[in-house]
Amino acid sequence: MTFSSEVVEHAATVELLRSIPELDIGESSGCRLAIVIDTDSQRRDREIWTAVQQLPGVVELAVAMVAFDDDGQQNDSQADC
Amino acid sequence: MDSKRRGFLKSAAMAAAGSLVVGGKLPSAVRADQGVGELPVLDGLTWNKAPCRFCGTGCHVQVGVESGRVVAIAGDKAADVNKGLLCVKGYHVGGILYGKDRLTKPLLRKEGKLVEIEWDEAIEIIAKRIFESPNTFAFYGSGQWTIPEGYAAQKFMKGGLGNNHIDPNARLCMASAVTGFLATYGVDEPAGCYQDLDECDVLITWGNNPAEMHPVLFSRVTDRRSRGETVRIIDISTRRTRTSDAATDYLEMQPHGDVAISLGIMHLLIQNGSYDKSFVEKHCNFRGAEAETPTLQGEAISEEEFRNRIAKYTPEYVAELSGVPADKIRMLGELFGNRDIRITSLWCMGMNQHTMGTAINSLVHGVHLLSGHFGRPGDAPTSLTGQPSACGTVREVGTLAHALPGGRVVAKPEHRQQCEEFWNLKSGSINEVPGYHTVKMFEQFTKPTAEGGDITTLFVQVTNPGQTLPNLNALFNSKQGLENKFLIVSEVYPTATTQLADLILPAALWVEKNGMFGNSERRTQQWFKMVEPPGEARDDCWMTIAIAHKLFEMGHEGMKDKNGEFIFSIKDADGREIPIWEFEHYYDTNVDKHLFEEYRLFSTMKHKNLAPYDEYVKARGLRWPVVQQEDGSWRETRFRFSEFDDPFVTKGQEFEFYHSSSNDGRAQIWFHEYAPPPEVPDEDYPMWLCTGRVLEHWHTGTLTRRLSPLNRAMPTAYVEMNSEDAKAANIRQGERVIIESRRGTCELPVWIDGRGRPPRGTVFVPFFDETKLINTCTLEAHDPFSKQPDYKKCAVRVLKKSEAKVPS
Ligand code: SF4
Repeated sequence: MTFSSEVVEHAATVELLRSIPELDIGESSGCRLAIVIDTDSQRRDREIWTAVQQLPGVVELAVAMVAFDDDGQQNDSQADC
Repeated sequence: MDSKRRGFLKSAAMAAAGSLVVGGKLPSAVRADQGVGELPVLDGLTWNKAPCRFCGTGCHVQVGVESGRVVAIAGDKAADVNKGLLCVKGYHVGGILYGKDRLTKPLLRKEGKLVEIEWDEAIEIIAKRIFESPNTFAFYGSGQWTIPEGYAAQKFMKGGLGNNHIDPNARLCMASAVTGFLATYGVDEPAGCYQDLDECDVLITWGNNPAEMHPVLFSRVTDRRSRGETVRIIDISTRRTRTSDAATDYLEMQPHGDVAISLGIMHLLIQNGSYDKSFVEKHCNFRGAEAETPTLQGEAISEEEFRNRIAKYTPEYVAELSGVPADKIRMLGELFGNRDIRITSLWCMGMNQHTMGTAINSLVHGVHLLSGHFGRPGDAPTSLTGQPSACGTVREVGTLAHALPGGRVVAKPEHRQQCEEFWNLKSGSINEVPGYHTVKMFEQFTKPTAEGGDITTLFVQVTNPGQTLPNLNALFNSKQGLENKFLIVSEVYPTATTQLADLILPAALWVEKNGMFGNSERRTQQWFKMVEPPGEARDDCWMTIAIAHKLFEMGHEGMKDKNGEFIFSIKDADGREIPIWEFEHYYDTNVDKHLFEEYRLFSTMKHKNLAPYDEYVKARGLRWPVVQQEDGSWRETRFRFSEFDDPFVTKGQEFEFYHSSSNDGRAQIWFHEYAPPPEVPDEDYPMWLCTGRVLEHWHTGTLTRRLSPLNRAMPTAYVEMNSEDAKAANIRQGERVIIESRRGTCELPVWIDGRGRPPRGTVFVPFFDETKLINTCTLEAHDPFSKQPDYKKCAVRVLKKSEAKVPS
């Protein structure tokens, strides 16, 4: 996560992050903070992603790694249309 | 997923994220065994490098494989391109292999129905059709072909069949960039590299939306800003996009306004005397189009003549033509007149899909040359490609209807002779007449034979023309009902193209095969096969070799070299032929390596030197020219034509354009007169239509629409409309409307002032959605040199469904 200024200046947002059970908080440096999201569904993933993106002071989310399970087998272009 | 593994992956993810947070700069070339330290070590889980399968940025990923299945994707920290970052498409790339409707068996259309057949039968059907009528066969390929796939197709067609009807989909996306580079420098592809984005003071995006289309590249610039650096972004565009949102200045132009703007900047540089006289005197010539029969060579004009021609492009006149206010043109003129700053221009489809594509490419190069904003890190005119190997496979291997590998062309006898010698073919094997470019190829395929449509069998690999060709009804859908026209499609999933296919071949995808790509910054990348393809899906390269061998067995003379051997013959250490045309033996050797080692001999002819295959195994790609050093190591080149980095520049020259079309080591600064677009809005069709892409989907969506998170995020194409236009037409948000041009219609939901915000009189539609084919409306008018169609502007009307005529 990249904040608009030093992470320490966004204590309220970091508190909100801590309240999300599927989210772990890692190292921080300057404006950046490492987080990991571990959910059981892609829908929940998406919800958290959107929520985090909209938190005060958050300017960017970048992904370092994704692991996925067998959900992928169900991918079908028509499934969501 | 068991909890132990889940825990491992979670801690690996934390390590990967943590390293991005504290990460520093990485060396420019790294070895494969570096930078993967943080990835999880787990029994049965292996990691290996591959370039992302999607865009021309060429990010590297680490692919985690367990039990024969891709289970994880991580951004590759050791890769200089992306330094561990990926965009939303990249981190889901592993899932593209696992859509549930993968094609797994060859399918032949019999009495209107697709029936399963065996591979032997499929190869025999194709070989027979080619054997019976080799000159009416055409091969339509792709900038997603791997380098060896494209090279094999090229050799098969031009060397084996003596048939030049081979062209790629890249004709639709970057052909004008090629002709622009050739006209200016005498040789294709950018001089600079992505490092320019790290060092520029000003970034100008010309009709380009890298925030969505090349997001990782764009983040190199926005990252600099978040570190407190000042980078001025100037977005010149026909509609507001996410790039405009990040821009310092947004200059909204009318379609074709870019031509006028570039002329206006050059006018100001000349008029104010702020151009770089020393650079121009030492390194440039002036050039104009010939009055009769213009060519890419053009004719020399004096500086005086250039001044005379450009004199009328005053800021006020340019404002009239482009819609950009005169003071903004002056601002651009001043920036380019300032040598103390560094300016990078970026462009992609906006300047390439343009009926003046060659002209606008040459003009933007001209702006940089005239102003001397060239050849220093951060000072660069740079075109981006949309596909992962448009550069590597199309531009370098030369899989275009007129080209041969190594920058050679079929029209030149000495080039054909060189190529025949390299391929050990009989003299005269290569045909001197260029084949059909894409639009022509499909015209000839969809036209009845009795009316002169002389392409009867068309083989499409790794692309989806049924969705991407312009004016689809004329160029693709009209194939329907033509009995003697036979369409062969190699694909991974059912597409708009397979719907009309007579024979469908199931293809292996990405890490299901060995591969090599070449990205937008001249970087050649390699990866190994990591998992088996599903069912009977097979490598595209194998298909080409198997067809060639079947023709060899049938006695086709072209499939033999001068010694009577198969043109793709590979021998083992004991001199025994390896039967690579039998799929069970295809991986007995590394066919990619054999083909690449043969191909790379061509690469020295235009100073695009490639290293041996094994060097690419070790690196996260290398930017050509890659030249061997005295100590035996291989050194890549970041900045071509600049003495400080390019080994081919003569010492003391500072800059040298060593493939200059005027044979004097100079680049050409072109003048082109502004001309309006071929179709402009009128009373009947009052709106501009622009088409393009979105962040979540890649091209026709064949792969990304099968990734649930991406499909959910962007489930349908839409038409972006200006709120005033919508209000005037009484159209509501989300309402379905009909977009109609003189060529076709498309029904879409309306998104008013959505992600992109077009000005009044313009609508935008993305083309990723196979259920809403906007290319039924687009225009096949194309650039006279590059033959690339203009998908960015044509005239349409927007009808409420109640107003639309019911199709009869
Ligand atoms: S920017 Fe392009 S190459 Fe990089 S991850 Fe995204 S789609 Fe893949």
